[in-house]
Amino acid sequence: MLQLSQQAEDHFLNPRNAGALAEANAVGEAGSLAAGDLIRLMLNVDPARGTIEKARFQAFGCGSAIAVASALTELVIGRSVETAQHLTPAEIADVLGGLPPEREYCLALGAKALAAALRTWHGLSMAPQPPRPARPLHTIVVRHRPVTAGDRPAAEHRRADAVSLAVPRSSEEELAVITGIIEEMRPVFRADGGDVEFVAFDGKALQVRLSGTCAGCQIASLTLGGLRRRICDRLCRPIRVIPVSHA
Amino acid sequence: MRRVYLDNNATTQTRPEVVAAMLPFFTEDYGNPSSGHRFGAAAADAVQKARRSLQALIGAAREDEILFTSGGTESDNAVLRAALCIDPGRTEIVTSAVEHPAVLRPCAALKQQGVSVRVVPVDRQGRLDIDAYRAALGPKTALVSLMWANNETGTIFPVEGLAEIAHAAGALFHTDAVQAVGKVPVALAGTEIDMLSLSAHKFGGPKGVGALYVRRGVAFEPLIRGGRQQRGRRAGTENVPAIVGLGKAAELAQAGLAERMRRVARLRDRLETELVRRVGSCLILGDPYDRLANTSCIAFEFVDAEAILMHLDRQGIAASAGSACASGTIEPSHVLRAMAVPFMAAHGAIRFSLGEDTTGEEVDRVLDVLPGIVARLRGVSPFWPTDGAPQSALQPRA
Repeated sequence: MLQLSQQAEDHFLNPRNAGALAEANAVGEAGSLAAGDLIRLMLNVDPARGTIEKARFQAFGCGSAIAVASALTELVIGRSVETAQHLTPAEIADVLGGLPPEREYCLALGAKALAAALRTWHGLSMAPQPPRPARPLHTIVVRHRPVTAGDRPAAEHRRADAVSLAVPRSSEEELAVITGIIEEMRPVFRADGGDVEFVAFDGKALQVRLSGTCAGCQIASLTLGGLRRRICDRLCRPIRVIPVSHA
Repeated sequence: MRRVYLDNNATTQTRPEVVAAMLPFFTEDYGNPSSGHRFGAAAADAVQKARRSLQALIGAAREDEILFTSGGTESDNAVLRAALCIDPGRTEIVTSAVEHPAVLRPCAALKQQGVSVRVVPVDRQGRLDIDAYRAALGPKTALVSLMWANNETGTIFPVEGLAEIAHAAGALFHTDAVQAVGKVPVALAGTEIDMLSLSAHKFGGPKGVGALYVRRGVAFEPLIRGGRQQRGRRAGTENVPAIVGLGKAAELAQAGLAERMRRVARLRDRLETELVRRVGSCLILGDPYDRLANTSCIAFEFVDAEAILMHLDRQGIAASAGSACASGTIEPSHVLRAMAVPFMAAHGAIRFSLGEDTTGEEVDRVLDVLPGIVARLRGVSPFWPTDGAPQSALQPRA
């Protein structure tokens, strides 16, 4: 097993600022389930002073990912957005007393999560909006469904907009998730003057129809890649996305 | 703190009787078995005795069917090389997607050299797809190599039947039985298995020694050439102390095997049922009906196995994630991927492999600490749907 430094192990065993931050107004994620590590950083930025008042994290992955996320929250709390932008992976490494070479990528993951969170902050601050709890990027808002029946009381968590990544268990549920994701991504395609439509899903391959300027556009394949990644992340297994032509 | 070792599929403690049997061959009977004098004769006798003990354990018809090697990996490599040298018309190898890297990596290397390798898939419980297996066999199949028991999940392949199917296609049949020998009864004489690999340190013997069974009459080409040791089939002076240790371990493993495995299975089953009850959202991986008695592969959803192992290690408990050879990489093991275990669960798969000395108290230790560890890690996991922290955004608002 990989041996962590004393500082890193302390952050792993006693993570600081772990858990969701209800009053977050900037949220960023880096990594993915498929890659094996994911860090979600939630910040509360004071709009007037431009300083990070609170920071909390959620992390999935090896001990190093958890230690990085924990150290990151301590590093950014009290900083101004401006200085936080210049935080480097090396600074996180210093706090942790370094990481094993096989896990150094977790440092970059932490920095990416911070950068993503600050991007959403800038997005929000450019267009003033009533304060609302930020939703993490790349997660899909679905009605919560307990993962194992009888495990937890369901009623307690029945909130329509709860962020949940419960894995769909039947083909009907999978279909609902897929069509939901396509609907969510449609604005992206429409913004480019095109559109995307669900055609068929056989459990392995998803067929979609591209229309408008999207049909035949090379950039569309990038966007389809994003669609595929989001669906794979939600179904927790790989699928293929195949664009089909007009019939 | 009392240490709890539940990683016996990685390696076992060398049994004290085995160590005691080995020591004189370092200090007094240090002769070379090939030498003509009495120093050599004593060593040769000891090697012969070890061979007979191993013959009894695996139920081989003749003792000269056994070659001593440096371990399971060497045995596997030797078989894969040898099988392609026998019949120039047979140039294909059939194996499965869940084999140990000691088989898969040499196969990948052979593929680079133009050998055709057919990989048979498994189902979600890790059982071999028999139809695909039959379809993979053909007139060009030189060798079938399928493991007896899987190191990660403990799933047992019906190798005796698989060997008959291979013979019907005219192919040789090899089984990597590294995890099976010493855990399940093996009686090769009555089967059609042509070759079998085993390793001493998986059943109480020393590391660095194993054996290869080659049925009499099956053509064989040595992997290591040199002196005339072991009838020219494996050159190099025999590692006498290690071979003696292997022989002693074989003797110990044979006595009361069924009763010992029944006891281990009861402990393993208690560990599993209690973990499922206390932790929740976990999957038992592998074939529930045909599985090694000591192995439990449990996938804890929404958390990462390495993080669990680090916590367990702090508590003095040793287990492993997926396959030990795969640690240091973050991908779920090839075995779990072949079984199409959902990513969310595969990342959190822990293998507990009990030993003959594992006690009920040790299982209780795990049951005491593991639910808390998983709950803590789920508490910080972005995938866990219900964050228990009071400041959680997911809590229902009044």
